[in-house]
Amino acid sequence: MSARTDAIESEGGQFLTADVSAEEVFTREDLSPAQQMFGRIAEDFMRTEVLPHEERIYNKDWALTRELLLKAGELDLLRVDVPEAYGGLGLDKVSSAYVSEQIGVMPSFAGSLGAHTAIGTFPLIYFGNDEQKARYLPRLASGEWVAAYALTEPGSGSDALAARSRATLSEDRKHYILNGQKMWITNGGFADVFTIFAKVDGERFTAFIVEREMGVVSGREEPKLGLDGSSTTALILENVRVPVENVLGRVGEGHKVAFNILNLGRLKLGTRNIGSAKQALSRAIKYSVERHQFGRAISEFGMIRQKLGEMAVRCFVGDAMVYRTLGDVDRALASIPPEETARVLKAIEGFAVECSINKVWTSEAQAFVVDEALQVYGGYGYSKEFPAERAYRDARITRIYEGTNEINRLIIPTRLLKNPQTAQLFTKETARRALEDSQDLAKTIETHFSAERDMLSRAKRLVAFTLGRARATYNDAIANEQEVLGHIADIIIEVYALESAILRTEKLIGAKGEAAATIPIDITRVYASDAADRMEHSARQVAAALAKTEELDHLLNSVRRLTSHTTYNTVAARRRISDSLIRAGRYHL
Amino acid sequence: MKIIVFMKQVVNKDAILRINKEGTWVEEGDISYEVNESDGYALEEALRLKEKHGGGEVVICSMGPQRVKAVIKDGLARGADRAIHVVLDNLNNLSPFAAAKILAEAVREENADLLLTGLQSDDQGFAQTGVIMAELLGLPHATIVIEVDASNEALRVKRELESGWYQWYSMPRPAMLTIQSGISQIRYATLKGIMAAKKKEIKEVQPSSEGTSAASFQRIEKIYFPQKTKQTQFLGGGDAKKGAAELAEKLRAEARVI
Ligand SMILES: Cc1cc2nc3c(=O)[nH]c(=O)nc-3n(C[C@H](O)[C@H](O)[C@H](O)COP(=O)(O)OP(=O)(O)OC[C@H]3O[C@@H](n4cnc5c(N)ncnc54)[C@H](O)[C@@H]3O)c2cc1C
Repeated sequence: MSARTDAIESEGGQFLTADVSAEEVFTREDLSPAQQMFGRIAEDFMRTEVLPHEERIYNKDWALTRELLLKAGELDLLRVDVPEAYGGLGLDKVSSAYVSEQIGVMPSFAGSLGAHTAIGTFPLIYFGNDEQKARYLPRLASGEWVAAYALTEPGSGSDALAARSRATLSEDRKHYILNGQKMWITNGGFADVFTIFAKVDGERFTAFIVEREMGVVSGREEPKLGLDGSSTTALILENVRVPVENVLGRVGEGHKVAFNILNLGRLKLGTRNIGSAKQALSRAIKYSVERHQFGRAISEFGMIRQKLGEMAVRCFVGDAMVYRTLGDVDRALASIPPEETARVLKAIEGFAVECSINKVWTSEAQAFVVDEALQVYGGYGYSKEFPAERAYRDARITRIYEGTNEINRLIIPTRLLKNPQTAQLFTKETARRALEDSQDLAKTIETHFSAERDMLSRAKRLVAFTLGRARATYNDAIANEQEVLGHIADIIIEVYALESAILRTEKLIGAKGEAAATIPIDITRVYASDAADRMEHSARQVAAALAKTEELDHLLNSVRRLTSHTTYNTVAARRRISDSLIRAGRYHL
Repeated sequence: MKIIVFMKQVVNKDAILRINKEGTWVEEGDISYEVNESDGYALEEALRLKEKHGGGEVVICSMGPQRVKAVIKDGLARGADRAIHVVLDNLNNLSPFAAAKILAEAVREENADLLLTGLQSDDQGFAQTGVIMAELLGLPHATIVIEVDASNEALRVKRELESGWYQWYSMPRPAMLTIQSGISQIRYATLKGIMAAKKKEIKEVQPSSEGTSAASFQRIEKIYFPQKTKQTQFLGGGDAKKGAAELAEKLRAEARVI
C-alpha cells in the first residue's frame, strides 16, 4: 500500500515515516482548468467589486460589507463548501482554498467572508442535522444571512474548554437559556447566526446554533491593531432563549465541534496567508522598480534584491506546503461519501499535524514578507497612504487566531507522540538508531536534488532523534517541557517545508523540463541551505537541554552530522530569483 | 434566435511585453491572455437578446491554438450554449481577409440569425474582420453598435458616430453586427456556471484550406515599441502674448487636449 492510501486512516505526520515522490503530491501547478476559473471569478470579484471600496470597508461600512457578501453569494463564492443538497456546490478543498487565496488580497474583507464561509458555516455542514441544515445552509450559501463563530470568552482563549457561559434547560424543557459573554467574535457586529459554545449546567460543553433574534447583543467594535475593516465584537448573552432543536451535535460534545472546526479552518487558512504575502511582494516589486535613489532604481541594490528574493522563497515554499496538504486531504476524502460527515472529519483530522504546521509556517512567512515589503517602501512604507502599512498591521492576527502559534507548535510533537501509528517512531531505541549512519531513506529516489534529499532524510532522522530522546528523558512529564517541544516542532516544520519545496520543484521539472524550472530550483536550494542551519540551531538547543554533561559532545557531534551540508551560494541565487521577479513585474510563480 | 459570437483571445492588457528574437511578434512564453474586450460585450449582448426574446442559442466561435479554450470555457460559464473552436496555431500573420474567410466557412452551415463580433481586436486592431465576414456570407452589417432592438422583424441598431452623434439603423435579418465596448455591465461567470460549462459542447474544426492559403498573402515584417522622442520648441519668439496664442493653438490642434 502506498503512503497515500494509508493516509486515509492516519493521524498525520506520514511525511516523517515515508519518502514521497513528486508524482504523489498535489501542487499549485496541478490546478485544473475549472479550479483556475473558480479562482478567476474570485479574483475578478475582488478586483472590480471589493478593492475599489477599500476605504469604505476599512471605515467599517458594514452595510457595504453585507452587500458585497450578497454579491459574492450571487457568484456562488459562498457556496463552495456547502453540500449540493443544501444549495451549495460541495467542491473539493483545493478549490475552496484556492478561492480563499484570491479573497486574501484584502485581509479585512477576507476576514469577514472567511469567518462566514469557514468557521461560521462549517459547524452546520459537519454537525448539523437535516432540519438544521435545511433551515440555515441555503440562506448562508446565498449571503442572505451572515454567520459567526463564538468560542472565545474574556477568561478563556487558548483554553477554550474553560468557557464560563452557561446553558440551562427551561422548565418546559423547550429552550436552553444562555448566559455569559463571548469575546473577539469576527462578524460579531452584524452576523445573523452564531455558533455559540456554552456549558449545560456549567459542566457539559455544548455548541448551539443561535439566531440574533433569540437575544444576542453585540458589544462595541473592538479598536484593533489591524483588520479595521472586519467587525470584531464581544457578544453579551443575557437569557438568550435557544430552542432545544438548536443544539448542534450532542450535549456535552461541544469540544468535538470546536476542535474539528479549528482544524478545518487551519486547513484553509494557509492559502489566504500566502495570498496576502504574494500581494505584498508584488507591490514591493513594482515599487522597487519605480523608486530611484542614488540615480538608480532601488531594485538594483543587492540588499533590496536579497529581500525580494527571500520573500519569493517564502511564497513559493508556502504554496508548496499548503497545496500539498490540501491535495492529500482531497485524495483521502475522494472515497468517502460527503454525507458521512463523521468519516470526513476523521479523515481531515488525520492531517491535523500538517494543518498545524501550515498554520504556523504560513503565518510567519506572511509576517516576514509584509515586514520586508514595508522596508522596501522605506519611509513611505510607514505612511498610511501607501499599502504596505495596512498589510503589515493586518497580517499580525494570523499568528494569534485559529489557535496561537504557540498552541499549534505544541500540537505538532504532542500529537505525533499520542497517535499509535507515529508514536512507535519516537522511542529511546529509535533515537539511538537515528544516529547510526547505516540507513538512508533517500537513496532509492533518483532526483535532481540528491544533496537536498539526502539532507532531508537526515533531517527526518534528526526528528526521530530529538523527539525520541525527549520522550525517553521526560516520559509523561514531557508536556511541561514546552521549550524543547517548541524546538522539535520547528525541526518538524522545516522538514515538511523543505520536502514540500523539493516535491513541488521536482514535479515542475518533470512536467516542464529543467530550463523552465531554474527559479524554483534556486528557491529550493536556498531554502534547503537555510533550513539546515535553522534545524541545526534548534537541535543543538534540544541536545543541550537533554544531555547529561558527559554525553553532550557526542550528541552535538551527531547533530552536526545530521545537519551538515555544503553551503549553497544563496547570494547569487537570490539575485537570480529577484531578477526574474523584476522582469515579470510581480510575483509570478 | 440563434446567435453566433466571435471571440478572440488577446494578450493581457497588463502584461509586460517583450519583442521576440525575430522582431515579428511578442515573446509568448510567460505572458497571460484574456478575452478581447469588445468581444466580451458582444457575448453579453447576445446573452441579453436570448434572455429577452425567450430562448434560442448562443454559440461562441473562437480561432487559435489550444489556449483559446480558456476564452471559450469562460464564455460557456457565463451562459453561452456551445462553442466552435477553429484550431489554428498561429494567427499573427492572418490578414483580416484570411481570418474572415476561415471564420465564415466555420459558421456558414449554422445559418444563424445574428452574428456578433467585437468592434476590433485589442492586439492588431484592424476592425475589419466582422465586416469582411458579412460580405463573404452575403449578409448586411452594421459597425460600432451600442444598442440592438430585435423585437420586430427588421433589426434596429443604434450606432455610435463621431463627436456625440448617434444613428438608428434598420436592416433585415440575418445580419452581422460589430459591438462597441462599454455598452453594458458584463455579467460575471458563476461557480455553478463553470460546473455547467463542463458539460457543454466544444466542437473543434480545422480551418478551410482556402482560408489558410489566403493567410500567406500577408506577413508581419517588424514590430517595435513606439519611439519616444523629446523636443523643445520656443513659441512666440520673445512675445508672451503671441506665445500664448501659439500654445493654445498647439494644444488644440496637435495635442488635442483642449
Ligand atoms: C481579530 C480577532 C478575531 C477573532 N475572531 C474570533 C472568532 O471569530 N471566534 C472566536 O471564537 N475567537 C476569535 N478570536 C479569538 C482568538 O481565537 C483568541 O484571541 C486566541 O485563541 C487566543 O486567545 P486569548 O486571546 O485569550 O489569548 P491567551 O490564550 O490568553 O494567550 C496569551 C498568550 O499565552 C500563550 N498561551 C496560552 N496558553 C498556552 C499554553 N498552554 N502553552 C503555551 N502558551 C500558551 C498564547 O500562545 C499567547 O501567546 C479572534 C481574535 C482576534 C484578535
